[in-house]
Order: sequence, then C-alpha cells, then structure tokens
Amino acid sequence: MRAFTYATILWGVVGMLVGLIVALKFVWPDFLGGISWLSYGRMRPLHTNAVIFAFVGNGIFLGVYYSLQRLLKTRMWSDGLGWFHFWGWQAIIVAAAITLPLGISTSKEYAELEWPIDIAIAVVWLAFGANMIGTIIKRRERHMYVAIWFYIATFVTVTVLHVVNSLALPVGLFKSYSVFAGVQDALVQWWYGHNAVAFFLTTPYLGLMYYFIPKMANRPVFSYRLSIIHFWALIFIYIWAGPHHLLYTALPDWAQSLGTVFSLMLIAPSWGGMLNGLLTLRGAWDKVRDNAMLKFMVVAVTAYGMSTFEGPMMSMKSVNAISHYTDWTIGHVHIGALGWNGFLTFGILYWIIPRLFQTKLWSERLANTHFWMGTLGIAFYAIPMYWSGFTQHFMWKEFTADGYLAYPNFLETVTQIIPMYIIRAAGGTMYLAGMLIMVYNLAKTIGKGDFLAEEKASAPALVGKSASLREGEYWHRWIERRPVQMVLASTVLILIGGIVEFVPTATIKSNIPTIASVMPYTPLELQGRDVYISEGCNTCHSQMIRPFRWETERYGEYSKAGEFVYDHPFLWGSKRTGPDLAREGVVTGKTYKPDSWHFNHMYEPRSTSPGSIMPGYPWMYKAGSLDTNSTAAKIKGMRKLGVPYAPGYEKRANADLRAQAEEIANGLRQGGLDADPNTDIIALIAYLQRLGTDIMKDPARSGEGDDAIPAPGGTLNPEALNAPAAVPEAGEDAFAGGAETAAMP
Amino acid sequence: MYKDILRTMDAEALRAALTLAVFFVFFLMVVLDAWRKSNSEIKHLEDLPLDDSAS
Repeated sequence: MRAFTYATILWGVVGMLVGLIVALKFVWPDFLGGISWLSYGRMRPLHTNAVIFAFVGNGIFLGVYYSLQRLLKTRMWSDGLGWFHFWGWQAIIVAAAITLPLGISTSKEYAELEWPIDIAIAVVWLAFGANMIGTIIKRRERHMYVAIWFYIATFVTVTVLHVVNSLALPVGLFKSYSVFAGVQDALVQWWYGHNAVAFFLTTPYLGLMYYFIPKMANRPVFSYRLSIIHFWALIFIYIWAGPHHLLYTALPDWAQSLGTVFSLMLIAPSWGGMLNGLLTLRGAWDKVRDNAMLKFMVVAVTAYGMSTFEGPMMSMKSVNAISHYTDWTIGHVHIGALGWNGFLTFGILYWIIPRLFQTKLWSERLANTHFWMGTLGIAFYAIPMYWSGFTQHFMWKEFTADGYLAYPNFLETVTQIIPMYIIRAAGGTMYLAGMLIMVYNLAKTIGKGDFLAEEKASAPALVGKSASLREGEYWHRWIERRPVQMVLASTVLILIGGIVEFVPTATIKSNIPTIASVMPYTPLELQGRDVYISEGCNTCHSQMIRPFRWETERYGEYSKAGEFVYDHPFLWGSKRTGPDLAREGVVTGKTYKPDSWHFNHMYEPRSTSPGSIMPGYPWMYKAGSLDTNSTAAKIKGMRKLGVPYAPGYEKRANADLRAQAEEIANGLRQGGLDADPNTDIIALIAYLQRLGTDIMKDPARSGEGDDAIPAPGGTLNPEALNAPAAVPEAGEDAFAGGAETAAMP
Repeated sequence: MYKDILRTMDAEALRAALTLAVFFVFFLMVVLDAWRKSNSEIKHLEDLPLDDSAS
C-alpha cells in the first residue's frame, strides 16, 4: 500500500507535467519541436494514459487496498499477489512511457498500447481481482459495505471492456490491427472509451468516496438505502451510454438514440451518489472550514456532480452538435479528471500518509495552499476551454449573408482561440505547482513519521455464520454477502447494454450499408495509414464529416458507414484542433491540396499555413524511414480480418508500393522538391490523397452500393495508383472479391 | 425524425424495450428491498467505515 502511495504521487506529477508540455505546444508549436518522441501526437496519449492508468490507477489500488482490509477486518489474501500486482502495473506504465513516444500505438483513445502490453494489463488486472475477491471470500465481516460493490463492479467491467476492445490481430511484435473495422470498431471503442471513464474513473472512486468521506467527517453515510439504489442503476445504465461519443456520425441512428436516452437517464444515479457524498457532511461543515482534506473531498464531489450533469447534456443531439470536436469536451473531461479524480486522490493521500506514518500532516497551511491553487487551476483550465469550444463551433458554422462560410479557412478559427490556450496552460501550471507543494508537504510528513508496517485489526473468523437468507430477509441480502454472486450479477447487468448495442451492429447488414466502389488501401497507403496512426494525427484531425450544412460546405460530402469497412482500426477522431481530413484526397473537393503542399506543410506547417499550431515532422523525411519489411505481414493480416486482398498478393505488395512511391516522388521532384520515395512522408501523402476518394471514384460503380451517392460531376480520381485495377498483374485480380463483392468483413 | 429512427432500428426496438423493462423491474426490486431493510441493519452497514475495531 505504501508502494502504491508513492507510485500515485510520482505518476501524478509525471502525468500532469506531460499534460502541461502538451498544453504549451498549443501556444508554442515549436516547443520541444523537431524531436519525434516529444511531438504532440505521441505525447498526448502519453498524457492521457499517465493520468488515467498511472495516477488514477495507482490511486484506485491504494484506496482499495487500504479500505478493503479495514472494511472486511482482514488482511489481503496474498501479499505475493499484491507485490506482483504492484510491480506488474508499474512495469506496464514504464512500457507505455517507452512505446508511446516511439510512436507504437493502436490509435484507439485510452487504449493506445499495443498487444503485448495489453496482455500484460489483462494478467496484472486479473491478479488484482483475484487478490481482491480472495480477500472478500476470507473476510471477517459478514456484510460487504457498498464501497466493495463498486470495487467488484470495477473489476468485472474493466476486464470485459479491456478484453473486447483490445481484440486485435498482431502483424508484428509491436503492431496489430483491431479485429473490428469502421463503424463496428467505433462502437466498440467508444463503448470502451466511455466506460473507461465510467468504470475506471468513476465507480472505483465512488467506492473510495463512500469509505473516505464518512471516515474523514467521522459520520455515517447520509443514506445507505440510496447507495444501494444508485449503485445498481449506475452500473446498468452507464454501459449503454458509449454511442453518445458518435452522435451524427455514420453510426446507425438507433444506436445513437439509445446512447442519448441512457445518457440522460444517467443523471439520476450519478446525482444520487453525488448528493449522498455531500449530504454525508450535513452537520459537519464546520470541519470543512478547518480541514484541507475535506475541502478536497467537497470540491471533488461537486466536480463529479458538475460533470455528470454536463455529460448527459452533451449527449443530447442538439447540444452535441455544438460540443463535439471542440474544446468544450476537453474542458468537460478536465473538470472530471482534475476535480473529481485529482482532488479525491489528494484528499485520500492527505488522509492516509499521516496515518501510515503515525504522525500528523507536516503543514495544514501548505495543504490549504495546495487546495486553493488546485481549485483556481481547474477554473483557469476549464473556463477558457468552454469559451474556446463555443468560439470554435460558432466560427465553424457561421455563414455570410450570401450563403458562404464566414470563415472558410479553418486556420482562422484556430488563431482566434490561442489566447484561451495560453490561459489554459496557466491553469495547468497552477494545478501542477499545487501538486508539487503537496509532494513537499507529504515528504516532510513522511520524514518526521515512523512507518506502521502492520496494523493488528483482524476480527475473529466468521465461524458458523452462514451467508444464507434468514427468515424475513430479502434477496438483496443474499447477494450482499456472497462475492461470487455479486460478481456474476454485476457482469450480467453490464453485459446487457453492450450486447444489445453491439450484436445488431455486427450482424444486421442493413446497419452498415456497403459501397461497391470502396476498395482496400494500396500497400503504400496502408503504410501511410500506419504512419498517420504512429504520429497520432487522429488526436487533432477527424475523419468524419457530419451531415450539417456547415460541415458539408467546408469539407464536402458527409461520411457514410460503408466507406470504412476496411478501416482496421477506424480513425474518426474526437477532436478538431485541425480540419477534418475525410475528403482530403478528392481532387475536386473543398479540402484538396496537391502533393507538394503536403510535402512542404508536413516539414514546416507555417511555410504553407502562417499561424498554424501544427508541429513539423522532419523525421518523416529521413531516407529509409519508410518501413517496407512489414508490408507482407500487414497485407496478410488484413486479409485474415476480411479485407479482400488476393491470396499471395503480399509477395508483390512491395513492388506496387515502390512503384506508387516512385510516382509520387517523381511528381514532387518535377516541382523542384527533394523527395525520396523511401520515406514516411511519401506514404503519408499517398494515404492522405486516398482519403474520401472511393465514393467519388467511379460514377458507374458507386451507383451499385446500397449507400452509394452519385459522384458529383462524374469526377474521377486522377491518381491512377489509387484505383485497384492498377495493382493486379495481367489476367489476375489483385483483390479477390472485386468491386461487386467488396462487402463488410 | 422519430419515424426514421424507428425504421432504421429493425428488431432493435423490441430488444431495447425489453431491456428497459428488465431494468425497471430490477430497479423496482432494488428500491423495494432497500425500503424494507431494517433500520438496525442499515445502521450497522452505515457504521462499517467508522469501525476500526477488531471485533
């Protein structure tokens, strides 16, 4: 437990520091620039993973190990398993801290780690669960307090989420492709992504709240009855809400609607928990005035209430149309992360450390200083993000009196909000500075204390006390005393939502109408797509045009579900720091740029777009950076996942790759640019120039699909290499199915 | 618009409705059970975090 305490503090500072670096890159895009492993696209997932899984993760384990033993009046089941859990989790964090900056990423938000690390996560998580359930089974208190239900729900749900969302086919030691494609992948990812918030950032912390607030206030929880009701309602409803991350996208409407309905229902159980936490302090508010720990807890629970009201509001379609892709979402999640998770963790640390070291907190005054710096830091972070979000939305959608976009250049909408990014960075600095004060205060506390290694608090064994129902007792009492049944009941409840939403999307063909002209990527485009993933381009650029006039005017035809059937993984993105790229390659489109523009832009974005805050990617121009060793394995892997590459195509895929790369490089050289075909930038250009072109490619063929649209003006993609017909050798189809059978894998 | 949504739901409408029914039945059972808990048991459960004794 002491080890988890130190790890929580260490990773908290690291995670927030990386967050601050990332925030500063919005203000000074060249800050730490030119170094691949410090680029924004790689640092951003490092920040989110460090805060969620390293800081909050260790905070959960710390709180669970502390409270579980005391609530059950027994020692943890296995010390050995506990140490395996601790060192395993830290090793996973270190592996993430190495692989993510190296560009080893799956691209799936909060699940970016590649398959070997995913397996390690599953093993270590199961070790944690086994230790927890073993402890519950050998407990010496008959009843399981409500906090423990939350811990159990966390364990079972995170297991299910992690396993399903991580299902991927390895094509190399550190490269895999999601088994799901396009819309299905998006649904699974946001089922996971939303419930990572629900069952990693919320339910375990509710359990901690139910233990630590009564403890700190020395008062029982306001309403135990309310805790029962809100627990079951929360875990049932939460699992359904994932599709609200995909409103107005190509996800089927019914799934979007389910996501909205359940998200709105979530207000009730969420606020049940929030009110229960705050009302526990009734009659004890005088303690809040004098006690920094309780101040942290009060703001934490208030932040939980704010974000769980805001979340359902943002899930309403009309509100989501405004908030999605904007900084509003960033403000929203940071109220939760900095306020709810951060402050609750700080409160717990201030509570636990003096007790572990049998002393008093070194300085209550410094703790108060930390509290106020943190609170102001959150305000300075969140308010500019809300301001920025609304500014973005209204600039994106504003039309002139003549019916043209008022701000056709996306860059105008970026430079407008840079002052907000400056204030945000200041807020982050204040929050981090407060944390450093906490570190100093706790280090001093530890220094003057004496560590209490063993606390003799085991109760007598529960000999002869059956968990069976007694006369006059009801079914819930039966479940409350039986951990295995509790695990099963929780699992069934959380599976219902996932199954009802996912199975029809995967099995009913009409949910994902196919488009005959949509073809697999050429080998060079596939490698370019992986460069896009590796550099984290999807952290700033979406590939999903929503069916709004202001989006179709700016980007072109709205996105169709059938366009993504070969996208393992999907790359729709969730934020538009830069413009959407879904129709980037359509020559007659609104966002098209020639190869030379991309070549110059990616090297020094401000050379083509003055004022841009995009970083440069000079390492993509390094001779030999293009990976051709993995092409065959990638083609084979994709074919196993249902992408219709012809059998044996992997043997000549690199020849096609080189031909296409040579053609792009030649075109660039003719324009006077020093282009090398063996570089990542050439592959990335090939991929970008392919985006959105399939449904515009061939009017005759695009009319065959269920969901096809007529190609405007009969446009044809001039990039011959984009057409799969260029790939096969004489008399042989490169892609087994051809246009007519290119169906959903 | 709601008609379009219903049309695209295929058999999903029935599943979702059934699930909601399951939820509300379960929810009512939980409410009923919480309501019928004895005050002494509730008091014992509420006090669990406050009790660090080894008894």
